[in-house]
Amino acid sequence: MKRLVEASGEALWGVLARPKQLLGAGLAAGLGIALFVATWTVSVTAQRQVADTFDALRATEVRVLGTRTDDSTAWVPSDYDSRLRQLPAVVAVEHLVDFGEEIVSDSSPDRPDLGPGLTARIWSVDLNGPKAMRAVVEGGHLDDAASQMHTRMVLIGGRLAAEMGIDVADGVRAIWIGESPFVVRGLIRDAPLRPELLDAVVVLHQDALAIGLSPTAAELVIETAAGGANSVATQAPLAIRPESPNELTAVAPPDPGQFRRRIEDDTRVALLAVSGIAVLVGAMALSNAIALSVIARTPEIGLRRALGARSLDVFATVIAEATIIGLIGGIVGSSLGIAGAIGVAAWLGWNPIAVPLAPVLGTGAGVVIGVIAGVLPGIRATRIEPVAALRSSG
Amino acid sequence: MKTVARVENVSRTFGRHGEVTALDNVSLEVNPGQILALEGPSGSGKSTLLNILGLLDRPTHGRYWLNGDATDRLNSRDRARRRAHVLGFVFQAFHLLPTKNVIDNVVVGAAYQRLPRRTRYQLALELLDELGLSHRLTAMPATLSGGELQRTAIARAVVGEKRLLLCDEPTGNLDTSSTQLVIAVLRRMTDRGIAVVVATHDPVVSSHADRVVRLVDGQPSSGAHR
Repeated sequence: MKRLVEASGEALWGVLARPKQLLGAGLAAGLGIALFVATWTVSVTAQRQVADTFDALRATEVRVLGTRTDDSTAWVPSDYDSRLRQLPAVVAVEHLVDFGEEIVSDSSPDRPDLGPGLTARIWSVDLNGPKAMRAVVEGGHLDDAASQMHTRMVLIGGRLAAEMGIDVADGVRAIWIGESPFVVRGLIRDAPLRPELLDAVVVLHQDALAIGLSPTAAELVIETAAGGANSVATQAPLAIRPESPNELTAVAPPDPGQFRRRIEDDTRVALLAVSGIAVLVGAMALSNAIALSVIARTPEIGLRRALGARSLDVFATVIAEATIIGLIGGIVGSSLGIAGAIGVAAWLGWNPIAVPLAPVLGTGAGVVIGVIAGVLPGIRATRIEPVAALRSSG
Repeated sequence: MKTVARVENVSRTFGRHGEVTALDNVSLEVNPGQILALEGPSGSGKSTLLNILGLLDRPTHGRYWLNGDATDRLNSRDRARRRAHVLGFVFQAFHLLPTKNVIDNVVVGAAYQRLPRRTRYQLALELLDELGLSHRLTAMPATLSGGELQRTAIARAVVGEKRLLLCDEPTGNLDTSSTQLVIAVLRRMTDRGIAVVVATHDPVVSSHADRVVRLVDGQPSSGAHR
C-alpha cells in the first residue's frame, strides 16, 4: 500500500511536470468518454421522448367490443355516453358502427356514363362525431348545423377524396352511397389512431340506417386522460352492461413499458457498440501517449533502476500515471459529454434527462482506460536496461 | 577491515558467440574508506567493470562478492535491493531530474530504501549541508553550476547507508576548480567509510586516488598503492 501511494505520488509529479502531455493524453481519453456519456444521456432522453410521444397517442385510447356473435351491434345502450362519462379519466366517447363496403360515386347513379364509382367502407358515428379518435377534419363535422340542413351529410377520408377528385375548396359537393345522395361536409385529413378512416366514408347512424345499410359491427372508442386507459378498460364493460360485463371486451392500449423496454434494448445495443468503440479509441490514444512518455523518460527510468527501483516499482509508476491521466480525462470527458447531450437535446427541442450514473461510470471508465492503456507501456518500461538508458542520454 | 567489493577472474564478453571481450580475467578488491581509480583509454572496460560492480550487468565468467555476499545467484529483486541500500552511482552527465529541485533530487536517491519520508528529507538535508549546498536546496538543476550539479549527484548517490560509490567520469564535464571540489567531496565520502571507485581519464583524479588500476583491452596492466 505504501509503495502504491509512493508510486502514485511519483506519477502525479510526473504528470504535473508535463502539462502539455497531460492535456493531449487527457483530451484523447476524454473525447472517448465524452462520446460515451453523451451517447448514453442522449439515448435516455430519446427513449423518454419517443415513449412520451407513443404514450400520448396510444395510451389514451380504449376500444370496447361485443363478444357475442348474435349481438355484434345492438349491445351498445343508448345512454352509453352518460354511463361511460361517470368513469374518471374518460374524456370522450365515440360510438362507431361498421356498415361494410358500398359503392361510392361522385355522380348520380342515373348517369352511369360518368363513371362506375369506387368501393369504400362506410362507418357511422353519433352527432358531432368523430370526436374521440383524434381525427383531423377539414371543413365541417357532422354536427347540429349539418343536421339542421335537412340534408344527409358525410365526411370522406382524405385518401378516398383524393382518389375521387374531391376537395373542400371545391365548394358544395355531393356523393352517392349506392343510390342515396349525400353532401360532403368535410374531409378527414388525418386519423392517427384509425388510419383506415382515410379510405372510408363516415355518416351519421340514422342516415346509414335510413338508406338501408346493415351494420356488421359496432364498437365504442373511449378517449381517456393520460395514464387512465387501463382503469377505464377494466371498468367500461361493467358500466355499459352491468348485468353481463363478460359479453364485452375492452381492449386497453399496449403496455407502454413494453414499448419503452424494447426501445431501451435497441438503444442499449447501439450504446454498447458506440461506447465500446469510444473506449477502444480512448485507450489506444492514451496508450500511445503513455508509450511516448515512457520513451521520453527512458533516462529517468534507467536512473531509477540504478537507484534501486524494481521492475514492479517502474510498472506501478507508469500505471499510476496512466490512471491519473485517465481519471482526469474521465472527469473532463464526462463534463463535455453532459454539456454535449444538453446541447443536442436543446437543438432537438427535447427535455434532457439527467443520468446520474453516466458521469460516475464515465469517470470510472477513464480510470479503467488508464489502467488498460498503461499496461503495455508499463511492461516496456520494465524492460529498459539502466546501462543503455543512461548511456544513451550521456 | 571488511572488503566491500571483490571480483575474481571476472570476464565480460558481448555478442552471440562472445566475439567482443570487454573485460578479461579481472580480479580486484575495493576496501572501505579508499578511492580506487580505474584508468584506461575508451573501450578499455572501465565502464563495463563499473556496471558489474554496480549490479547493472553480470559477468560472463568469474565471481563477484558485494559486502561479502556472492552476487552470481542474486535475482533481479535482490540486485535492485542492493543497488538501493549499498550502491551509489555518479555519472559524467549528472542525470539529475530537471523538474525536481536540489533536495528532491537527493531524496530520489533514497526513494527505494523504504525509509519514512521525513527520514529521507532529514538525511538529504544533513548531506547537502555537509557538501555546502544548504543554500541551494530549492534551486532547480538548470540554475546550478557544474560543481553544484555533481555535488548534488554525489549526495543523491550516497544518501542513506551506502557502502560503495561508483563514479563514471565524474569530472568529465567540470572545470579545474569544480574538479578539485568534487575530489574533496569524494574524499569526504571515504571519511564516512564509503568505498569509492572512479572510472576516469583525468590524471588529477587518479593522483588523489588511494589505488589506481589501469585497464587496457579489458585487462589490468598495473596497480599502485599510495
